[in-house]
Amino acid sequence: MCRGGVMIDPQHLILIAISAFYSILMGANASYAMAASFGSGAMSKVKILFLLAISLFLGAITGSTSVVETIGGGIFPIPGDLPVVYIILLSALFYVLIGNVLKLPLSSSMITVGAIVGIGLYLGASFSPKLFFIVLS
Amino acid sequence: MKITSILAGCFVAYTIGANNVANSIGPVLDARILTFHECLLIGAVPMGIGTLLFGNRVMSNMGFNIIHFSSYDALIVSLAAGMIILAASILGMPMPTAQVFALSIVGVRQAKSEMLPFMSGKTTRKIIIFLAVSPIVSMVTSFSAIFIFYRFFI
Repeated sequence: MCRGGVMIDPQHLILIAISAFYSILMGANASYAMAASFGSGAMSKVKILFLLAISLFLGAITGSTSVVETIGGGIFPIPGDLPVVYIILLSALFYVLIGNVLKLPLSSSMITVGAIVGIGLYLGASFSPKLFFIVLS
Repeated sequence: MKITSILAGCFVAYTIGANNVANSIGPVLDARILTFHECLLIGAVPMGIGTLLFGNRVMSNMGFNIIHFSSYDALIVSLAAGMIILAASILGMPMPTAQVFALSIVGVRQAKSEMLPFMSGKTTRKIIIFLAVSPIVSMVTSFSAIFIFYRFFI
């Protein structure tokens, strides 16, 4: 970890870039939130997209703490290895990309949890009981 | 009425934002590179940008190809989905938001007077199949990826 003008590790920089790209694709996919309002012809497309972006941003900033804690270590204690994190992000990113190309909505939660569970299966991790509820829902 | 349905849409977008940033920044948080608030910014800002740039594809498909929405339908769909997702966000559960939303649209479609059979309609069928298949495929992908990685590169 470095800050204040010190060099950042390039590996970390790539990781951050991948995460940001995943967020972009997820934002594009999450536009189904307004699909109903848009389909009813309530407002023009550009206005709706702006409102959507603002609400997504606000939601992400203010209300996401508990879910982040669940994903980041609540399912099973993920080892902080870089390759593991890379694989989770990349395999999730790939499917969101496909969803966007096919214009289909896609639950990024399911995909990310699926990727994490796949890793956990390989590493033989013990899953927390939370996973059961996630799968049920 | 229109304003209300737009507000309900904003509410859904808010809850989805709260629920979905976790997916992209949760794994990064595990790597312990950044602090929590820096991670939030990295997740939230690109999400808004992505919606602005590429959002209309999925939105148009969902908005026009399943049913023809009236304002009331839009309000009902948004409120039903939004409340479920909000509850999940408060409980800290990563909820399959797209499933919730798509199925509430399909629910409205079933309740309408046309009484269409359940899996009729090309888009509906495609969406439901895709939603069901994607988590499994993603799990298989990450499993095989880490398998290959640990076998051959370490």
